[in-house]
Amino acid sequence: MSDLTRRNFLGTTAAATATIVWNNPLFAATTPDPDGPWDMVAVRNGEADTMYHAGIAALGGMKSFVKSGQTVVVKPNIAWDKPPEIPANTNPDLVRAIVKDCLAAGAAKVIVFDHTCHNWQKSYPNSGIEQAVKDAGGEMAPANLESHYREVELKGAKTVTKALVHKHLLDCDVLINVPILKHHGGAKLSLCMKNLMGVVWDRRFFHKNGLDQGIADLCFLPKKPDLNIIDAYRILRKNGPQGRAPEDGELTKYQMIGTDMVALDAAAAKLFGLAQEKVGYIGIANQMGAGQSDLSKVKIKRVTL
Amino acid sequence: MSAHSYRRLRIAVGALVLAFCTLAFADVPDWISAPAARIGLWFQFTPSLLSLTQGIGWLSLGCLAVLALTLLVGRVYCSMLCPLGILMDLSAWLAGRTGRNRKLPYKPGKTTIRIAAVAICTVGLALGTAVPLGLLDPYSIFGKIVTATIRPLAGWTNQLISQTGLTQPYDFSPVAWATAGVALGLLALIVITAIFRGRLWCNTACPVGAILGFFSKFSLFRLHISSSQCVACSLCERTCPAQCIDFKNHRIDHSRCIMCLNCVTSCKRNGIHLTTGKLDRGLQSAPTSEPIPHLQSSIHDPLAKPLPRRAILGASLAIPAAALAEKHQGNGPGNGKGRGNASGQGIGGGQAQGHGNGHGNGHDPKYSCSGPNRLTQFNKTPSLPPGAKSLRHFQSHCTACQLCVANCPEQVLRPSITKHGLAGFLQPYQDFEVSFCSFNCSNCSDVCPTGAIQPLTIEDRQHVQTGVAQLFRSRCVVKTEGTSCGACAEHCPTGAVHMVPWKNGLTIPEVDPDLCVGCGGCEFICPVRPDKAIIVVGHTTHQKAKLPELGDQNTVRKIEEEFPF
Repeated sequence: MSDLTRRNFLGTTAAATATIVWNNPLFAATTPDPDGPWDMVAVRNGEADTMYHAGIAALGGMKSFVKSGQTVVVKPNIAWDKPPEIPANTNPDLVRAIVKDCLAAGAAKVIVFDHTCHNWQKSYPNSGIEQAVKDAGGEMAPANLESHYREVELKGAKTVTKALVHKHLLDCDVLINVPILKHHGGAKLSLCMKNLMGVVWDRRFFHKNGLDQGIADLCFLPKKPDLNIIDAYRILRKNGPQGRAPEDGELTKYQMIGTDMVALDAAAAKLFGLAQEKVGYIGIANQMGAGQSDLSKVKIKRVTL
Repeated sequence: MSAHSYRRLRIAVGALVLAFCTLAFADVPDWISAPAARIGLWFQFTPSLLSLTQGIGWLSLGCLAVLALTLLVGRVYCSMLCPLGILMDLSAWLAGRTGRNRKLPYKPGKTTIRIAAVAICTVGLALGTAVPLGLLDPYSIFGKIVTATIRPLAGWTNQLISQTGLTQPYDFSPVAWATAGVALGLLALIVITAIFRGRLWCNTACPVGAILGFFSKFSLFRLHISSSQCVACSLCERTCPAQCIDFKNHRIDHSRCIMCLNCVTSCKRNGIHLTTGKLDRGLQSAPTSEPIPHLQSSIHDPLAKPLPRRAILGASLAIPAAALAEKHQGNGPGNGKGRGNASGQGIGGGQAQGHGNGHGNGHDPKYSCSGPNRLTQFNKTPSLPPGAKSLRHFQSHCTACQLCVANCPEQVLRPSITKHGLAGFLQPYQDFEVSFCSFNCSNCSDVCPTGAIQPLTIEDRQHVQTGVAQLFRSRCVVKTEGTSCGACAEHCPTGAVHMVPWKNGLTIPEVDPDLCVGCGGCEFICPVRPDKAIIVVGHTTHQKAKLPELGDQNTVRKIEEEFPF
């Protein structure tokens, strides 16, 4: 049977990736992982940037995702005008490490943006991300005007079949999705798929037409994340997604890296202590074939620093 | 200082004032911070006078400085510091450069109109609205004009340039077309009168011109035409934009003179001098009153119809007096006049539609959730900026200069056309269709030069409840569609709107009105149309929101033995 089943697909992709990685002199520097390749790497007990370095090494280094001269979009969560002590936005240290690593891997340009909920001119600086990106040599792009977006079709999606999506995302070579693990009043948790709502212009459409289905539909964007990194260094336990005070956060020191958004979201739900079934969009995305939510079928490398 | 160098100084200062005021109102990239704007507008007479009546520190002493300056050398404010006056001079100068030389012959003063202008403003203030004052005060007119015209142009230009990547695209609120119409009308009126009649506006409709004009009659230094030098060439009369020089009788109407000194520089015989009032009188009692024979037929003598001193003095004291009187009334028990509205009763009032949760859905019983009387985002009481204290205080102090509108980083403040009614025409309200008020910002209160929006620290702002959220579950998408949403709770900075468990594993919003600051985040983001499921009803008297006690530490998780997945 030559059916393109999920398992087949994952297997072949993994095998192909492995072959490329194995034989490519570009990757000679990274020590090959004898047990790899992995679908997901989970790292814990380190700082946000050290956990990232450990995790990406297990996946063959950033060079297996970013080629010389490519344009990379890093999409953290910068939705709120909140300081890093309140984990409402992605950890700036992690963003700094990723941007630096992309440039070191040969990226021509690293662009960072988010369609913020609060005033972007406050969220960008106050989250600490603007400074981090500047330090690392990347550039912050605005996303506050409708003219920054372009209408595209989401083939395979159910409700969000058409959307205005940020041009930088549509035009980039590599997309790295860097959500933070947060409690969310409406969607229960904010994770990889939810983070992609920040590349779309009209947020209200999602809330009006079934939030969970809309979030799952984001797996069918014309440009899918090449890499997802869930920041769970400091997570938001309650009053999400905005958080009211530092007490809403928890210093957890975890990080999950991988290509499958659905698998990563499922793992993060478990880390949060919430049954996967309670997070509607994970199940829907799994059913739509966007990824694997059954973690027993996902090959996870677990690293404790 | 020679008259020529004074003229250069006047033009230089005037250009600076015009540029600064234009920038303060058209400042899309926020180059001028709120405190800088306050300092730069320190000597603007009307806002300073209004804030003085409320005793807002040294920032309100500008009007006293202007009065002192006027008592010393006359209406220098009008020629150098008033942005609208400078705009008039600029328009007349530009029109003059087209080649047509428009003469401005002497005209008698229109004292009655001037008193009426002050009276209208005063009566307005006494009745509790600063709107008439705002439509006549030159600073406020200038603000309206720039905010409604140049500001959007600056915004569009910025967004065009931003496409090249040279600059950031700054947010600016959508153009308020009705406001722009009013502003353009005023601009046209100002420019046309300036071209054909010079400073006519300043000596008829302008209440500041009337008040300063009263004091300038008693200023220490005044212009005087020396009869011994005058050859009745009429050059001075023709250049006087205030049309206040009666060269035939060697008289200058000092209440209308704006101290431009055009006459001094125009006089070929150095016959016009700035001298002390004493000397002035001395000279006038000298043989000067012997009119030039061939002009004797002309009878008009401005002093034959002197400004009724008592009336003007009364009128000029009336504005601050009215503002003060209004303030005292405001403290009295009669608060919240006129606008029968729900806000007071909103908290913990009638249960909206009888679903089980304890609180938060209360609203004015005169409105229902559905039907023709239903409360919607369109018919609710609008929210005032934090710091406005109460509708009464706000309406009687806001001259609708639009400085807060221009300085609101969230662009939530917009001029009201009908929301505040006629007594609040063009005064700002919070438009939650466009945006919502930031929990971490008190810009409007920092920038307001009249004290209509009282100064607040950001911490104070977080306690102020400008309105309260009212939820209509029967409109909520969680109930109507059975899908998850939570957009309102997502945007709530205090947790007043939060999600509670509901059917089928869904969560539905609930409101704790005590925690609500009325920022409007929930209403702004609510996806339900046409009537939103959650709206913020403004208070006519601002309340205090309860601030929950919040810790400043994250909890720390112990690393588990095994990975949880």
